[in-house]
Amino acid sequence: MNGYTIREMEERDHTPARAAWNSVATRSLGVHARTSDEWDWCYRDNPAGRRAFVAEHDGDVVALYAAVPVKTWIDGETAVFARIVDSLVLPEHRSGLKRKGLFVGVGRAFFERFGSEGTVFFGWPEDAQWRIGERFLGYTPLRHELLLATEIAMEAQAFPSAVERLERFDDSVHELFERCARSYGAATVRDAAYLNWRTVERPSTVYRRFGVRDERGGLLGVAIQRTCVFMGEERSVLVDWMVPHEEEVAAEVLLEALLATTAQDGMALLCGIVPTWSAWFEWFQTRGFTAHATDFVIGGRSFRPRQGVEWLRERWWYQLSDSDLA
Amino acid sequence: MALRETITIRPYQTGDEAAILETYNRANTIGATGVAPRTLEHWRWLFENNPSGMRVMLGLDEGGEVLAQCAGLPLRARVDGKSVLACLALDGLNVRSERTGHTRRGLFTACSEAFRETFGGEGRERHVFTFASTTISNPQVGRAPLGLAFLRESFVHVLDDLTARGGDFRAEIREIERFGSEANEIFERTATETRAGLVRDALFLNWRFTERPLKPYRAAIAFVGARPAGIAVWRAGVHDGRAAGLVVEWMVPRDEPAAASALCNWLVTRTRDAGLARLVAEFGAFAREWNEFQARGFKVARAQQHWIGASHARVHHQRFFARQFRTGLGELDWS
Repeated sequence: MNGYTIREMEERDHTPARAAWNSVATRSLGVHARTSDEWDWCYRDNPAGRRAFVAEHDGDVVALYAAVPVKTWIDGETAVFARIVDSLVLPEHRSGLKRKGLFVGVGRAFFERFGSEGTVFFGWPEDAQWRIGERFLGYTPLRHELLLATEIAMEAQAFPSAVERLERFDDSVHELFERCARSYGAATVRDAAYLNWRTVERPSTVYRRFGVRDERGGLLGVAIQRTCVFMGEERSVLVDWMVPHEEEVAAEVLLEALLATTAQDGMALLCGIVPTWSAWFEWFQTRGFTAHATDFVIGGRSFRPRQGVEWLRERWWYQLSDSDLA
Repeated sequence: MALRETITIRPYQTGDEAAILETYNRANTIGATGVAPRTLEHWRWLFENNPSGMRVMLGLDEGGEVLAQCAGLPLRARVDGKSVLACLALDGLNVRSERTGHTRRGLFTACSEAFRETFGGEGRERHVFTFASTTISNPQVGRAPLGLAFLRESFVHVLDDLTARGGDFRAEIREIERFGSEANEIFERTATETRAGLVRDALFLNWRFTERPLKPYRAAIAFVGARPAGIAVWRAGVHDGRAAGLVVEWMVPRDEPAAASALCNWLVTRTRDAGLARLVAEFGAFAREWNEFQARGFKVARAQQHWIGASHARVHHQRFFARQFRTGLGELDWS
């Protein structure tokens, strides 16, 4: 592409890339500008690194195709999944959805560079990105997300004494993850490094982390909650759920903690996403949750020969913590 | 030599049915347990008697043996109020020749391409949308040649609590043998709520359910006073390996809650009287009934198949159909 340099994003690009993102996001999406703290958290401090390409034109960053990598356990081995989170082209450099333009050029360079690592890329693109991504960049829909939601009584519910509020995660959480992972085909490795980065150190965002421990201090289950605007309304959101199926008591009290927190926050609805293949999808329904259609479609592109999107659809455990939706 | 013989790809012609059935039954019943061969009566109902016509593309050898087939059921549909044709793809075949013992690789693909070129697209007598279901365990079967892509997961609404619902005194349930003009009236009232769906009028419903050989369906209409207010069709069957009552058709206008309650009670009673312990229905997640049936105590469970499809329309991307196309268990119950 004449006049454009397409290359991997470097540290020096962070400020101009953020400026480009902010100009597009605040103008056309109406979201608030991202601070340098938020940008650094996403692209500098992630323990799994970053995967990002930019297009430069006359010294300015005019396009970005960026993903947040996560260490992932898949079918018995460790790999990298990467959530495509920021993809944009400044309006004056766009070429429409039917022609291959700069968006496709940067996206293809991105996939050529990082696809060879056996990465699975995923995300919840908006409609326009879906159209261009399916046509030119190999996006495949994985599923239309269903939201599990329950209305709760507004009277105060007691917070269960068996549930501990966790300030940070320690190494014991990895043991819990390994127990849970036995029923997953693939999942982000929810170790202390990841969970602390994702739910403790994220700037300007408050997550509540709940845990249940056994008498030795080991974790039997973890639930992470956030009250925020979700699907257009302020709601109590289940951001992550990590409980082995055999820990039924832990699951019950964690749900009680979520309901109590929801009521305390004055929220009428607690909601979350659970992969439909999982037994938890039924479990939440038997406790009063109902399933609802959403406009979110998770899509992916897998560079793993044995684990394509079809394979992942049946086995990949992901939560809203794997998204940037909550 | 047999391997050099000419293969003909052409649409169905009168008299092909015997050869089609022979190949179909060889491919689908050998080695399979409990799968009865398809009868000529069943084939004629499915393809010849379909009020919207027949879509069959065959690959035949010089001896007239059917080696491959790409077939579909054209079905009248409405998309954003416009009358169009949709096509349910089924019965794909690409088999080893009985005479030569060889399988013609790529013959199904060639039949599929001819099928798409002959029948797919916009314009008179062409279908704008092809859809099918595929099992989770074998999701790629038949997809690529027809250009079918994943549309959405399929879910069922399952009711395990079959205690009496009580119905609604304002609605009267009448079991019927055939559908008449009241079905057209109910369909037109429900059609306005659906952006994409099959035309479920009397012509369709009678072919689909009352004239269907071998599988007995029970149909009922709810009347509120003299007004036809809802339709349900039921049969005893198996879903995901478990015996169940199946709601194969459900058509109740939004403003007929009494009819909905009464029909739901009829379905529960039918299921219980048949000695079955669960009732199963299917709706797309954007359908009104998705939430309504949960409110009636049904739980949502993932089914063992996905919906796949391809849009041939200029205006509507297949994600439109993925979201909006109305499906039910009646779209699965053909073989």
